[in-house]
This record gives sequence, C-alpha cells and structure tokens, in this order.
Amino acid sequence: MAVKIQSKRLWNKLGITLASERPERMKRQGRPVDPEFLPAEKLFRRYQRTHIVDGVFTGVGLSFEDAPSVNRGKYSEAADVLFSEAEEEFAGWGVLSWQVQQIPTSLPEPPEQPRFTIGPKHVPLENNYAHSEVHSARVNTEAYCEPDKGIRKILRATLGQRAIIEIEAQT
Amino acid sequence: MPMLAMPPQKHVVEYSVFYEANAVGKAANELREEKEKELNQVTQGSVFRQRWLLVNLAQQQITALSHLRTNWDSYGAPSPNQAAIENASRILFYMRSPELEKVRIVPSAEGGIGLCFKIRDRYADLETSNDGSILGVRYAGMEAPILIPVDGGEDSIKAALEQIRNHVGE
Repeated sequence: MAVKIQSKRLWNKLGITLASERPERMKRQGRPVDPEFLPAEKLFRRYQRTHIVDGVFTGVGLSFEDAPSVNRGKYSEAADVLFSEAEEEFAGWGVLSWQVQQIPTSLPEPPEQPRFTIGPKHVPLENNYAHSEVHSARVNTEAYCEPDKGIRKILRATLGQRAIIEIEAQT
Repeated sequence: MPMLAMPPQKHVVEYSVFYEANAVGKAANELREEKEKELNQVTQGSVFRQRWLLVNLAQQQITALSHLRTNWDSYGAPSPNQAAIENASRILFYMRSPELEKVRIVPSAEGGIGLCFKIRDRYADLETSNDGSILGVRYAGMEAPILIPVDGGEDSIKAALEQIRNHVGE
C-alpha cells in the first residue's frame, strides 16, 4: 500500500496521472432497466461548496432545463458520482442526496391543478448502471418537459431545502 | 441621508489631484502611501465608504463568475451571460449595506447568477437568468417555498428586496 502511495506521488510529481479503476458495481454488464424505486431509496448528485449557503444547499445550483442526472442508491454508493477516469476531476467536490419520497410527485401543488408529474427514472449508462434522472413530464405524457419557470424555481428550492449532504465539499 | 463621519479635509482633496496626475518615483510613492493612509483614516466609519467597499466586493464576485466556463458544474451548466451580470449588478445597486454584507453570490446551474440570503432557517434568493429575467424564492425551514416575482423594473427589484428584508430580517 505504502509503495502504491509513493509511486502515485512520483507519478504526480512527474505530471503523469494514473487512470482510476472503475468499480465493478458501476458497470452495466447487460443489466436491464429497473423502473422500481422505493420511497426511501437515495438519489446522489455531486455539488461544489459554492452552492452551500450557511450550511444548506441552494436550489440555484440545480437545473431542470434538462432532466438532472443522479445516481440511484440501489446500485451505487454516494462517492460513485465523484468517480472519474481522469484522476482528481472531482477532487474536493461533495455529494448530496434526496430520498425518492422527498421529490414532489406533481406540481404545482393543490389547490392549483397539477400540470407536471415529477419522479425518478432509471437511465442506465454502460459505465454507470445507477445513472438516473429526475424526470419531469406534462400530466398524461411521457417525454421530458422542463417545467414552467415559476414551477421550476419552486421545485429547485424544494429540492435545495430537502437535500442531505452525504460528502461535504471542500472546494 | 447617510453622512460622512468627518468632512473631507483639504489636504486629502489636494492629494487626489496629485494622485490623478500619476506622479512616479520614490518620493511620489512615499507621499502616495502616506496620503492613502490619511485618506483611510478620514473615511473610516463613513457609511458611503462602507457601502462602496461592499458593492465593490460583490461586484468583483459577479465579475469573477463571468469567467466561468460552460459546464462549470460538470452537468452542462452555461456560464452567466451579460444580461444576467447586468441584472445582478442592478440588484446590488438597490441593496442596503446589511444586505450586501449577507448576500452570497453564486452561479446558477440554469445559466445566470443567484443572490442568496440565509439567516437561521430563513432562506431567500433572487436569480438573474441568461434570458434577462429575474425570479426569486423564499422559505422558512421546511415550509413550502414562495415565489418572489420580479419584472425587472426598479420598483419591482426594490419590492423584492423589501420582501427578502422582511423575510430574513436585517
């Protein structure tokens, strides 16, 4: 182990970075899409310290212009969202999580008529089986549709409110 | 109307003329340093100076965000554009010193700039977007967030800041 650390330091000194090894659990290896999410399942996402305002994550650091990417906890660990083959790409970044049950299922909330349904969707990648998205669609439709600006702002703020910090960001 | 703690002294005014003349050399540097020290002493405690420093600091943070590259969050976030920067600067202009002291300036993952406030469990932000719009939100603890609409006009920005002031407290 000590030899490994020493040689890693030497490589770094010489400006050579070593590729990290992707954990086996991240590889898809022919596994199917799993559409089932339990309410307590965690969804992980990386973040930078700049988006922590007095100890809480601000929704300003989250975008719904496209479906936000997350890793589902059923098939991954929090730190997997910081994994990169390019060493230290996410050094100092943090990881936050939401439980599936913390994501609003539809917006706007009553008494207004819901116009968007929100929920997690498993979208596995070859190198990241746990990859999922927080999906938003118009009621009674399937395709992703970014919520209206006001609804998006409320959704982002709600998720900021409910985010749990799993790994604290240093940078 | 904020007042200077002390009226500006004559030699300070003279110094500014000298300073603007861009005099060089050892003697000029020594004089510049000495006079800068005096200027700092004279303006210490000035409400104007304090505000000016706070605005400057906040403005520098906004300018720094304009240098972000696209994908700065690794999820494809655009960098803040000129419209978002100008609107954020306009909001700063209407902020009072206590707000300028509290504001956290952050890049928006949707493209733009967030001006965030949080005191204890009370949070609020105003977000200037790359499409030129401004929209805010506020909440306390785990209560449902409430939108702060802003039409971009002076009165609207002032009203939004007033709402934030009332929400997070001064």
